[in-house]
Amino acid sequence: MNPSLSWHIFRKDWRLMWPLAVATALLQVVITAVIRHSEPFPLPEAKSIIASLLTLGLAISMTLLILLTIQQEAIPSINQDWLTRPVKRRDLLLGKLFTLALLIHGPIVVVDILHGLAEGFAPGSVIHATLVSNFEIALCYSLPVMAVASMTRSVVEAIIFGLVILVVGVSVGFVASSTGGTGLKWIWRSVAHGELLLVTMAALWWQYTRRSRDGTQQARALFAVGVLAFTLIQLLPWEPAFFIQRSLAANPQASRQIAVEVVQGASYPTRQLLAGVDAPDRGNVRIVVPLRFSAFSADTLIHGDRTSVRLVGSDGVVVFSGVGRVFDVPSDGDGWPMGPPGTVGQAVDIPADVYKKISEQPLRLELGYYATLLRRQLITRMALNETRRIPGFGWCATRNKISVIDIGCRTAGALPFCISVTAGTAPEAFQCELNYEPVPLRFSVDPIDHWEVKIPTLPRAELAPIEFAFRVYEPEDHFFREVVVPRIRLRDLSP
Amino acid sequence: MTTDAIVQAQDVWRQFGRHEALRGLNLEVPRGSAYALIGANGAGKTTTIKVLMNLIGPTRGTATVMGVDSRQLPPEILAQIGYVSESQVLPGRLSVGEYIEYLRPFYPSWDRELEAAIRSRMQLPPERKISELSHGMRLSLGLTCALPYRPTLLVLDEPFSGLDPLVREEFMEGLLPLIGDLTLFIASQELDEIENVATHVGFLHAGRMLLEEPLDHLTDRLREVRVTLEQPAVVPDGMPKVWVQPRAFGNVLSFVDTRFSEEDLGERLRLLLGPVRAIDTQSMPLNSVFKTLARAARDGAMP
Repeated sequence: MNPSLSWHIFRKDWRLMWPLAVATALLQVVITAVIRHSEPFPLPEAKSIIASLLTLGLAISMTLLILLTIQQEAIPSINQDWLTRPVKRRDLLLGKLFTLALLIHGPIVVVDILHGLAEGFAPGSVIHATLVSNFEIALCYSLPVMAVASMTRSVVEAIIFGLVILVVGVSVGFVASSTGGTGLKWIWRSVAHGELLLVTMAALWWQYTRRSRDGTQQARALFAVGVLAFTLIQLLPWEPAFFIQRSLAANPQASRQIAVEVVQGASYPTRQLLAGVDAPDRGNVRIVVPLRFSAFSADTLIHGDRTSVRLVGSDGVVVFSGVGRVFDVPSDGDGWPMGPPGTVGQAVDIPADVYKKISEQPLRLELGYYATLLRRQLITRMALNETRRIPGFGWCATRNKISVIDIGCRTAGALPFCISVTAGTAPEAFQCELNYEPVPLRFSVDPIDHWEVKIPTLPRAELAPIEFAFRVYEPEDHFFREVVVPRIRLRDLSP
Repeated sequence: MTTDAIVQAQDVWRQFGRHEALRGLNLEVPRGSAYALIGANGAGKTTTIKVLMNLIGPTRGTATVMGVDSRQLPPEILAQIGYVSESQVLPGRLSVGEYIEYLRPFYPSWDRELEAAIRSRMQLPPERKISELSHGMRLSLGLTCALPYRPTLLVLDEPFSGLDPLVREEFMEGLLPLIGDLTLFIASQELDEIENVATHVGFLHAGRMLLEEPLDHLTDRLREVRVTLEQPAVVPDGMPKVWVQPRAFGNVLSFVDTRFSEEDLGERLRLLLGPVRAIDTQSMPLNSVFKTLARAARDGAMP
């Protein structure tokens, strides 16, 4: 490789592309000016819409810049002057990577760092968050677009090829991911990102290290299969993901004593604190299995990530096999309606026609619980209408509006995935996006992460002395338990 | 095959879908020669050059340039090759000056003085964008950029279409001699322009090399023969196959002798045609050679 020639190629590209590059950078500056927060609450709706439109314009502009830069020396074309010049393809690739780094990511890095500093975050965390965010943008956007550009001759051809791949990818993506919506979703996503990086680099390497253009069809096929595999990886089974997650547990012994049993005849409320409340799907009948978890310590919470459910008839035939709804069990009952500590109702939705056939039969119930023990930690307490920068956490504020109390936080990097607020005697308010990724790997695509929750306003008398307790939940251990009930009748479990 | 050939092709085939553009092409360009590749439109001249320049790969067979398989031409070899094509796509958004400036660092042997001499003769406006140049000016720019590094091999594919006669002459007679040791490989329909410099000729027809030899051999052995007979002329049956394109008009029979030899010519003509009043033989310009060969190839009468 000859970096000086690569630099020479970059300077030529800059000479040709600077108007678009400058326009793209200016667009980023404008977007940052629009989204810059003067307080850690969500933007007004009008600003959000403007920012979304500008961001769409930025995506188009960046895409064009990458495509046009790469296709200055289109690889598949046979009429290009550069093909008969003594330009080493690796020098060309390096020159194009310079362009990508300096014209696309350079302005993003500068603008994001200035944005983070302007919002008052520490330089170290701002730089770290910006670099991690840019890595993700390069991995999922710039490099794949560059690969597509290297396999096509024109912007139109690139857009058509890109759209075909996108449509195929998105169509396959509609098939539900085994870990989607759970804290384990990062596992297959990370594998898929690694696979995408490999395929992108392989396609670029293939295109830029061979002088013959006849290999472009193979490169396109490789890339298309790679993108398809990227989507299909999300469909890998749950069990290996859970096995990986368990092996990464922060405190692998923490759940060893936890036991679970079905308390026949009891009636406990279903409880979904971290993942939101859901109603049964139409056409299903919900049964609720009363559970009691024991031997888990104070200030912890069990989150049922996934429950496998099998109902077996007296003749040994499986009459239903499916999954139950997620649930949460706090270690104590304080603040939660009804039910003794450690109890929860496990909801299982059964198709109505199946239920009708088996509701009166004696059945054996087999439950498999994949669960996570989360530890709760108090971060701080704040008064109403207070704004504070909390070291190691973020920039948080509370404010009283007409019907609600807004509570928000921002930070450079990633906030904890599960934050709750307790205000006075009101129930703990959760706002969680489940993600059990080990903390060092956790990041936000947006270099500034934000969190907000709204709680109903309180009676005036309670407002004055009120304190808002901020708590975070982090996974401590993951465990699996099996429960078998030899004989149940579904009708007895229907609420 | 000779070892001093700078370009060689052995049984090269190239297909585009069902169309076979090259069908077992064999070619040999001696080092230091000026090789004119001639042939009718669609004969495969441009495809041949694209294979040699690794713009496309051969479907079968092997082509070598400076001893290296054309599919593996490294930048070090490309730095010694000048290539100008009528259909070459130049970066339109660069100006003439920017483009030349961009090319310089890629060629270790780039000679700034030679560049200045060539630019002053070609009279290209340095500030003008390439996209704003006429077709002829773009070709001039291509030619201008193919010479300052003193290439060992200069490959030209129809370089003169759209160029004014002065520039053609300037290039062929004024600039090429400045380069020094050079092998010229040129495909062109402008045969009058290349006749003065060509030393070798290859005649391509329907993807095959039908004839390849030094130009002086070719012009020596191809002669236009006009025979004035004592009686009205008719094209006789049993004419040697090497006499092509016979035409009879009045008492005159004319043809092209593709294996011309003065020895016994009169006797051979008398035996075939009867009493002969006069025999006139003329060497043929390259243009006429091409037309003769092209007609013979078209009619399946290639000697």
